[in-house]
Amino acid sequence: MNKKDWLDTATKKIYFRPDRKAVRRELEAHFEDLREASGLEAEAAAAAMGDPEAIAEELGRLHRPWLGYLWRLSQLMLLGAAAVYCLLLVLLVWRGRADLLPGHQLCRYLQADAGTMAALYEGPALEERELRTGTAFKIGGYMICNDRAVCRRVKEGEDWHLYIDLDVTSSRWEEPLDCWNAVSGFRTDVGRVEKGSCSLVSVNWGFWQKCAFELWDFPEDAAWVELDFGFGELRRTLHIDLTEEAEP
Amino acid sequence: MAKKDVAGTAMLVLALLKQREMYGYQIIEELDRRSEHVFQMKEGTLYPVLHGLEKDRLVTAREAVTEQGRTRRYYAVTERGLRVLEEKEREWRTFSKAVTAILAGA
Repeated sequence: MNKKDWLDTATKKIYFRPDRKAVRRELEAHFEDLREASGLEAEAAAAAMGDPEAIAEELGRLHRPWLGYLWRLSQLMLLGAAAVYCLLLVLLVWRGRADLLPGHQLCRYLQADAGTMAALYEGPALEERELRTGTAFKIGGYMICNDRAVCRRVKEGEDWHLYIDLDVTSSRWEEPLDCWNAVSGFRTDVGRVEKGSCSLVSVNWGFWQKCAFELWDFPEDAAWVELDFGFGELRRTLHIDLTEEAEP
Repeated sequence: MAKKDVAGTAMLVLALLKQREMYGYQIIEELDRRSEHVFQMKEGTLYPVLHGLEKDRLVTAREAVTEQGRTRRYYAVTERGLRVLEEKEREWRTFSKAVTAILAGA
């Protein structure tokens, strides 16, 4: 039996790999010490070391680190969970449904709750109408979802303000959507709204973006408003019905 | 604390390690030399004993790499190991004294 076979046999019943490697190193050093001191050939030294099957039984009985097994198991489970999450991330972002990912809501809060988005809806309002939303479409690799639209009027006699929240998800995390230039215009059933009567707040957080348009000076009797998106040759329109209120 | 039953071979190993820390090959050589070749321990006996003592926290081990690149594990006796050894030495002396007395009267 050569050195490798002897060491393999002697350590074969230590199933916890880090232990097995440590014991193997120790026995190998012993093997070399023996050879050096005695001048024996490898096979003779292996024979002088004793029966590897017998030592394997004893060492296997001694090396059963249950905590080590549990630690290794928890590492494997963690790795598995991370792999599944990464796979989901890739698949869902690729399919434009990153909003389905666990943790997405948290990310949204992280990105949006920087005092910018929330501030738009803060403060007392004389009148406020939450509109029915949920329209979504894809353009140029960006998934755009209108997740909130609110009409507000702070004081009597003031104009209505329309707030339109857009949730943008994309795999192109390094190239966020330029919302301001992506919207070429605002139209209503009674006329256009100039871009000069509009402002934009946008927050970018990697795969997710939040854009909030605020429109003022738009016709009070308008029944709907449409945002025209243009991305290269592509054209899409977001339609918001101003007469349909969201269900409470 | 439960009393740890230590066999004769383990007692010899603990007694050697009481002097200084040693690695496996050194222990076999030292045992052979000090017993004037009476105790010639095999590797198959020594390592399970050493690892068993380490598991019972009667010895500790540290690794060191030699100039030749060999990883040696040096074993040293712990306080607990010393207490167990003292107890075993007392038992052995009592036993030895009794056997000597009987043999002397034979």
